[in-house]
Amino acid sequence: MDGRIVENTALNIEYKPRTGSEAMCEALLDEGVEYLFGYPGGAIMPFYDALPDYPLKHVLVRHEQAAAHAADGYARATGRVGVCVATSGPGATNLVTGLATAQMDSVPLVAITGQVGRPALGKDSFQETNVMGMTLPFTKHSFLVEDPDELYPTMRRAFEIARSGRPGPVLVDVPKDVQFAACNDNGYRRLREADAPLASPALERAAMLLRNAKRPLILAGHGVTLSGAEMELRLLAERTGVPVVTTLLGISAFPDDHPLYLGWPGMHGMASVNRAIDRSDLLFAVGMRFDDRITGAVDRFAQNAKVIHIDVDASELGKIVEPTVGIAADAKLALRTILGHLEDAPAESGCDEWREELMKSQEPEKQRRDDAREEYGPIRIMDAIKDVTGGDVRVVTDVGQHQMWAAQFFEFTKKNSHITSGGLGTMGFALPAAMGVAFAYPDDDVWVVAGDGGFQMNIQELATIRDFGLNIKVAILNNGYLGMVRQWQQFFHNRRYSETPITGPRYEEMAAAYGLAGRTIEPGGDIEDAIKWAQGREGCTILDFHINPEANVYPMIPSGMSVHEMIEDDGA
Amino acid sequence: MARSRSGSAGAAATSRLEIRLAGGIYALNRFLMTLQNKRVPASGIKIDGNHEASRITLVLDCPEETARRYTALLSSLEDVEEVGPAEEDGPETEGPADPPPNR
Repeated sequence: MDGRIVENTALNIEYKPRTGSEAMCEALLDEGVEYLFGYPGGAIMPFYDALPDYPLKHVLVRHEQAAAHAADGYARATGRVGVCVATSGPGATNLVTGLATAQMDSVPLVAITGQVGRPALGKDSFQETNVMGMTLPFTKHSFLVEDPDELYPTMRRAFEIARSGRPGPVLVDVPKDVQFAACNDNGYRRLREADAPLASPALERAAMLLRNAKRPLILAGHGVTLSGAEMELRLLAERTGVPVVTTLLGISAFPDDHPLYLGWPGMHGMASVNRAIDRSDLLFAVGMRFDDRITGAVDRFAQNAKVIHIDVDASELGKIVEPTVGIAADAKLALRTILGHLEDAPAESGCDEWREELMKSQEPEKQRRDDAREEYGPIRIMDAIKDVTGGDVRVVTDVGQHQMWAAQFFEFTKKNSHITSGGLGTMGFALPAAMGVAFAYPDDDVWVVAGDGGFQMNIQELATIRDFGLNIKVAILNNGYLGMVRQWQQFFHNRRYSETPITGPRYEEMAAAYGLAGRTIEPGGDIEDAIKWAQGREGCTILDFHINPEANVYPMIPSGMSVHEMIEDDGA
Repeated sequence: MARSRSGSAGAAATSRLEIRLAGGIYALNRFLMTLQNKRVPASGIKIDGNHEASRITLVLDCPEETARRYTALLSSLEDVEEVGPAEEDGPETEGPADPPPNR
């Protein structure tokens, strides 16, 4: 159709062709989208003009980066595709960090960007950037839609790509005149058929290796959460008695208080878990990618272990660690099939001694932590949040020392309750991501744990949080430093604290300026009382915990080294 | 699957892949960016095609198992319609004409 109004003389009805913007909104509705996180601008105005006519809820953020992180948080919390919207040029470039964050952690997002009109493309027009070219390295796929008739099917396709297989972000860039143009619905066809059934020999072999191993470990990653395989993971662990460790993003895929849960390994993971991997004879890795923060020196990682590696992305198998058995499959399907092969296995057989050895190896670490719990500091803060909320809480962390403390010391017992930027390590992630979580679960408690550096990177979103009355509680672990960088300067740069001391506002007063409530807790202050106060108030509250400026995260494995070079405390 | 010139899975080898790609510059851009992002060890590349489809012959210089992994990666790309071993008498792909995209 060419945009003319067509008159149906028989019924005396005028048919007006829909616009590209209307087609975009209809595609969003057809995908079941509830929330969009975005920020309008010139090149996306036609879309924003159509938006109020549709039952789609738009959240006006204060910076496009926050839109991407909020959509990311929503997607991580719900397993659905998150949607963010921005205009061309600077609006689109501001999304970039959020898209890269989602790509690294396999989070399904659709980012819609306005673009200059087709006649202006490629002419360095006002607010023109080649956002598609710019985001190619860190999107799963990207579209520039130049044909209005392709708009609806492309939008639908974007969602399908974002959530299928290994999830990831998809960009849809739409020129302004395409949003205005009349378009037909060309329909929507799914282009790919379902994946082939799982090949059974590799799964049978994996089951056999699990049966025969003497010192096995299950290493579970984000893929378990992404495929909703938490129950299958638990069944597998309980049927075999094999202890479970997780990656940072795998935390809360398996309950922390389960007797078979050991903790998480890696650069700042538990020392005993790093040693357990070093001692194990079989590593059953599922939904994870052997990130360098897990492996350290790859040639000395799990040297004694055979490796079963299950991942939905076939290109991950053998990328870092060569598996004994590699299985390219969705975690849930693979675990179910393996459970089928283990139906006749005697319960918790075969590795009693190994479990006892592991339990014993954790005792000194537990004792050190129990001692530290008595003092004012990060461990006590994590404990208090857990105690006051009863653990029925979703914790969103930023990036740095506090992220490691939260992962180490908060006991996550609620499924998918730990949300953080693992792969990209994006400071400024927590506050906007928590908005997405809070929109997804308005009745749940959502706590942000952030440092004073990262919190300031998207601090403007307090206005969005206030506008929507989101029930987000914020604990800032304020040490006046970019703490993790300072810690590394302490160990590896002879304490030259180059540009890591950092100042900020008085957060209590800043909260008041945003119309929110805040409190400052000085060293030695009553942590529990402050957290009860925050928890008891409606809406967003900000707690500014002043902590020891030179508190360190232990253990730490220096970059590129192995468990044998692990530093466990100040005296190491 | 890529055809290797070496019998050993771990030894360095050369594999020639023929890839049928959706047409247009965007699909080609995405494909080349994937070669760069994933550090695909391409020692030769030849591109032929029109607006409907591109035909790419790719020479991989890596062990057979690695080539299998990259083949799986490329075959899962949205724009890739088909991946298979290149015919021996297919387009000449080695030589100075086309610089490798990731070096």
